Amino acid sequence: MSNLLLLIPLALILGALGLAAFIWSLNQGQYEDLEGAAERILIDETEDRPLD
Amino acid sequence: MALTSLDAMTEFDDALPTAEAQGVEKDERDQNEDNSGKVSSRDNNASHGPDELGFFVAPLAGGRREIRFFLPSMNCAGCMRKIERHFEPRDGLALVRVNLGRKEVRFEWQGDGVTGAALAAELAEIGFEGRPLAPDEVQSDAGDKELRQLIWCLAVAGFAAANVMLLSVSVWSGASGATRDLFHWLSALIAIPAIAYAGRPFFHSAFAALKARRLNMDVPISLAVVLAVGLSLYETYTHGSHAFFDAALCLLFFLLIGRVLDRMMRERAFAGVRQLLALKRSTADVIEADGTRRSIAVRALQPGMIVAIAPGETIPVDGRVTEGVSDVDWALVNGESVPKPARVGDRLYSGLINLTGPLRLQAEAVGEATLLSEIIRLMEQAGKAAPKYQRVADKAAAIYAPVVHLAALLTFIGWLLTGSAVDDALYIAISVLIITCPCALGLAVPVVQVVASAIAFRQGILMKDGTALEKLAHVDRVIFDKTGTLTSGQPELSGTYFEALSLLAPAAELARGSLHPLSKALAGLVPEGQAETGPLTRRREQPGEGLEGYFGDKRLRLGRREWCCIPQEAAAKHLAAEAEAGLSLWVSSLDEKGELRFGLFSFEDELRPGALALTEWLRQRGLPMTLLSGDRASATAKMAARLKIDDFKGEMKPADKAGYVAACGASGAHVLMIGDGINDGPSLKAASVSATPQSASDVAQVTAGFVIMGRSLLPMIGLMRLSEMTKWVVRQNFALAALYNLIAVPLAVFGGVTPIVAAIAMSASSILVTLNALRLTYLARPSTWARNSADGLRDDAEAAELVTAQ
Repeated sequence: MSNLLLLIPLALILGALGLAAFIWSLNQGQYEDLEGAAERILIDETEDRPLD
Repeated sequence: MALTSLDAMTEFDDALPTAEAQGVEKDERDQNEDNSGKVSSRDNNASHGPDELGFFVAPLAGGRREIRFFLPSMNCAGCMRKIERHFEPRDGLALVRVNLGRKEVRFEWQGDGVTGAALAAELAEIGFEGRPLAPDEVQSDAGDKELRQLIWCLAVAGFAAANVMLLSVSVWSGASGATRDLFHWLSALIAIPAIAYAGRPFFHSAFAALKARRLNMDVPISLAVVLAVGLSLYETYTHGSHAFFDAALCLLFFLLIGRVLDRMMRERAFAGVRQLLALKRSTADVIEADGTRRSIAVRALQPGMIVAIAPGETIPVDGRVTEGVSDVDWALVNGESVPKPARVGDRLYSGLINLTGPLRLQAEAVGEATLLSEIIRLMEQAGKAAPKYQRVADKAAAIYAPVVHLAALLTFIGWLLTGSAVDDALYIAISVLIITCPCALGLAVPVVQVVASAIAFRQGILMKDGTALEKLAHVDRVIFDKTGTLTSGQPELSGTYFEALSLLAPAAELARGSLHPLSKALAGLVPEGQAETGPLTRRREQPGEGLEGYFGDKRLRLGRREWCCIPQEAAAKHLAAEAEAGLSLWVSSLDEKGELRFGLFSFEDELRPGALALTEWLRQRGLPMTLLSGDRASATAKMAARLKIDDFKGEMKPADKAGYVAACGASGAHVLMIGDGINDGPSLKAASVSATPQSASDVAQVTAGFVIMGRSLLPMIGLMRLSEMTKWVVRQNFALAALYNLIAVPLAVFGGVTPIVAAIAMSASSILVTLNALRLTYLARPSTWARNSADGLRDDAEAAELVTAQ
């Protein structure tokens, strides 16, 4: 019984964290351009050049 | 006050009650109104400073400013990188962000180092023609907010459902006594706030429906959810063994998926229309009192301003001509295929196209007397008269809800009569309501429509809402507009009279460079530099009259008969031919000896690609067709004969058209109206379902249920097939839902439903219905059609063969 007292709140907190993270990302506008996000990963942060 | 038709359209959206705009959608309209109020106040603050595009710059919090451009030519990661790399942070420019899905780029900056106009110029430099988006065209408006709220609800319901389900699984696997009670209380603690939050969309709509004394799908849903929670609370309180918290939450979760999909589909469609409209002209050249020229946003035009319009441009505003002479293309406004001359004092309307000479126009307000306000008034009437349509889902609910409620009631009475205790009988009656909750029904229609809209989009059709597709399946009569819908708006040479044939090459040479549609058609017939008569000199265009040029000493004129100096008696016997030809150009050549040679070219409107195939296909299906045109009766009759449409009417005013369509609707026909002009607006609204080509007027694009992308009408055939398939899949889904009830209801009536049975049965039926909807993707593949339908006409050539074979 006593382990339930720990595990259930833990499960709920973890779930709530997930929910909060989702809502945060939604408000950040991370789902506004799904197409662009898929392509963006292919863009390098810096240009690749051969070593001089 | 801004004057464009775009504004008038938003007015339509707000002012016109549509058949299905009730309940939740009413709230949404209220929000829209709030929103537009905000926007207009922002309009007034728009700076008219040195930044030409100042109108499009929106202020943000903290002194930042923002502008967005729509870039139609951006379509890959490369473009995205090119733009974001090019604009490095400088001069206060703080953010450059591309949205590839919407083909938008957003700039944010601080201070005066950056202007909208400079950004536009720089975009053009790296090869992207951008069209600035006005603050109220940007997508983060009321609709988007509602979608976001639905997603919030979905997230909350999903979170709660998962946690409660975990607790329930431990109950089912044998928890008892105090542990079970603890789990039930915990479930209640999670479920009640979650349901209160995530259930709002359903509760609102059910309440609105009940207030209007109707039943919709949300009534049994809300009832089941509320009763399930109430019953479970009671069970928990009395240390009972069965709580339905998990079932109630799963139900909401599945139903919210349907709602979110539905909403996303509509958002995507509206974004598509917005982008189409965004391709149109956004700035106008205004002449100030001191004679200087300034470019301002069309939407910021004020009554009294003088607007300069170059040949080839669309007239942005209603007004009177103050300077200049020209020919004006009226096709989009009243369906006439022959351009009309415009002189000082003439009234012109936004949407007309200036063809031959520069014009100056004094803008007038959208008052009572303007064409657009007349159209708006007619559209309001048409909207009221439009056949009321009950959505399939609501129709099902109207039958379904009373049956279910009656079944629950009978169950309750039955158990009482057989001697059970009141609370036992009540428990079983409520479990009947829970198990029959139209979960699958709520999901059945939206999922199918989302799948169908994706298919339609791939075929080149933008679907504005799913109801339009439902209505399309019932269509038993098709009404076409002529100019711009069945024709492409470009005339082609159909006949030559007198000596026209021998004068064709020089006439084509003379016509080259003119924007007049007849000149363009003529010029297109002869490759450049083919005239053997030497180089053309002293070429000039007299707006409203015609063209003149010299080959050596020979004077060549092209245009009206008087302009060509052709004596009336010489032409008299063939004037009938001219009238019959409709679109015609005279040509005359006067050589140094004073000898006059002349001829007459006659033209007819070129058919839009796919028009022949579409009409032939409709004929094979036995659908009656009607052609209604604002153009002359003779031209209409000719077109009707070409397409073998027996029923036609010419010289129809917008009100006549709408009246005709409404009369068809009143006599019980389900009319599909396909039209493109401003004058078609009321009839598009009056029809039970409507479609418009991409080249159509703003009014038509906003009003019609479908926008056909590209030039061809062929996608309409695919769309009508798709609508039928969709109807079948929806029916199958209803059948599946009914089958599920056939099994579940007896089980519930006889008291056999425990929470675990409810959870499994509901999830299974929802998943089944979704999978069946996905089948549509397979059904609608072109290859499947080719196999399944012998009547598949692929193009005009095939249709033409059939027509001639008959």
